[in-house]
Amino acid sequence: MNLAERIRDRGLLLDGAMGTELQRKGLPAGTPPDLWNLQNPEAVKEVHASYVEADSDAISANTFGSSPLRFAAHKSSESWEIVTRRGIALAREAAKGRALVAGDIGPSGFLLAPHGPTTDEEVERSFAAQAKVMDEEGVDFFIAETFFSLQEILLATRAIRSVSARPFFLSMTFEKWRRGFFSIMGDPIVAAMNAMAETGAAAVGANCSLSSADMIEAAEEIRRAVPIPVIIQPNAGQPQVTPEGTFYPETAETFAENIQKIRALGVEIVGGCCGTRPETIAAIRAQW
Amino acid sequence: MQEDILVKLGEAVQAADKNHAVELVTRGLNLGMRATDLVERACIPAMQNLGDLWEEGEIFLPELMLSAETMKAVMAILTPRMATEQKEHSTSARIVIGTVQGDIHDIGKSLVAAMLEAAGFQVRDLGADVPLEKFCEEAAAFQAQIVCLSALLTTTMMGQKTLIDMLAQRELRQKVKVMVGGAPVSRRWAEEIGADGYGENAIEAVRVARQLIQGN
Repeated sequence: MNLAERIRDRGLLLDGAMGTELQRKGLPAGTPPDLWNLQNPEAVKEVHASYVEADSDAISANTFGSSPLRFAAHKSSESWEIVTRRGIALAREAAKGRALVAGDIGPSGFLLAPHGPTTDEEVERSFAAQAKVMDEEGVDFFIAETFFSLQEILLATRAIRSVSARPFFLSMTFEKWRRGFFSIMGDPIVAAMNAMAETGAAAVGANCSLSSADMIEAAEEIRRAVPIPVIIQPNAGQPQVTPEGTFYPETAETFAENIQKIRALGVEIVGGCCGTRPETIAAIRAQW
Repeated sequence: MQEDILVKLGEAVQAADKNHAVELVTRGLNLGMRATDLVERACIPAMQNLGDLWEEGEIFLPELMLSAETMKAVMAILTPRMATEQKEHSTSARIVIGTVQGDIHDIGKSLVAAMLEAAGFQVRDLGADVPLEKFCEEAAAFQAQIVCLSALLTTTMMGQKTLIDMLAQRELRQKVKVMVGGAPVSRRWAEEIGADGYGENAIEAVRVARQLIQGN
């Protein structure tokens, strides 16, 4: 059964957060989580393994920020390429053939011209380099997520397609305003979904920023907008920062109940973003 | 005429019409208007208005950034003038300001720095992504009475707390007041981490800084 058939027939349960799980394991604030692929690979593997144990169908490699542009921005002495290859390998080792492995691609971290100093060509080149390495490492599919600019995720899409024939999921992040859901760059949710669906994506949708409760409404709009599979990965609520640490208020049970409602709308692919944990994924699977 | 310039300058900042804004500022100064008035009565209300429109979801990041660019161009002309205007009643209190380590956000912090300078403080702006160590060193070297810490990410807010602990360890905590700010920062957070002051926006930041100095 290929990926498209599997999504259509059974849906797909993704994993929960990586970054906030690594922070629980001691990743200092401000340190890019991807660096732990080299510096603390056991911790990364443990997080992956805990999601496989919770019965995720697919896990996302710890490669969200492993792109040439992003590594240049935080002046890392590590090579983005080695971090990416190691990241895919760690996910593969933890999956042990029980879960698919996705190459995870996040935004470049730069604003595109005219709002920032980065050109479309530079950004596309950076994504293409990242995607090529992932393709060589044999990821099962790509997931480009948490993009806040339609323009940028379309560049990422072009980059992926230029180096690989593997399936790709596209997911942007939206905020809820009085007038509806928009990215912070002002992309309206329905227009963004339509544009992404036209690229040949295996799935389009939204992740991060919104709690699972708010995401129900967003998912409804997305489901109505596109005929192709939809991917939804909410946050476990809005982060609450206290001197003792950062907490996400939604319990695994609440989150799983809201995901159930989202699936009932006809959304095929679900998972969790910031603040979600292996117990969150287990709770979703229990209601599957 | 002068009222007209204030209104039009506010509109130009909001519409991100940089050239027109700069032209209006120049005309206003030539007419003998005070730089402080141009900032406080035209630019700041315009920025606040933009903030409200952002909260309402009427404008988005691109509009906000273009207006901030316009504001920067205007402030480049007005800041040195304001320093001269304010000299006679300058507090000459010293402030070190920056965005904490791991956080590259600059706009809000720079606005606060400009406003503090406009209010007569001597300001050393350390920029963004500033190591906490550097805040301590600069505060001591500059003999600052206040350290202002900006953070725009929930992950970097913790740096504000860490710095307060670091200042205590180095026996600098009694010598400097600490002010915190940034989008996710709240009064409650400021109280929880033991900061001396919190500014919801640039104008409040100036008011709080004045209070802290007078309380000294």
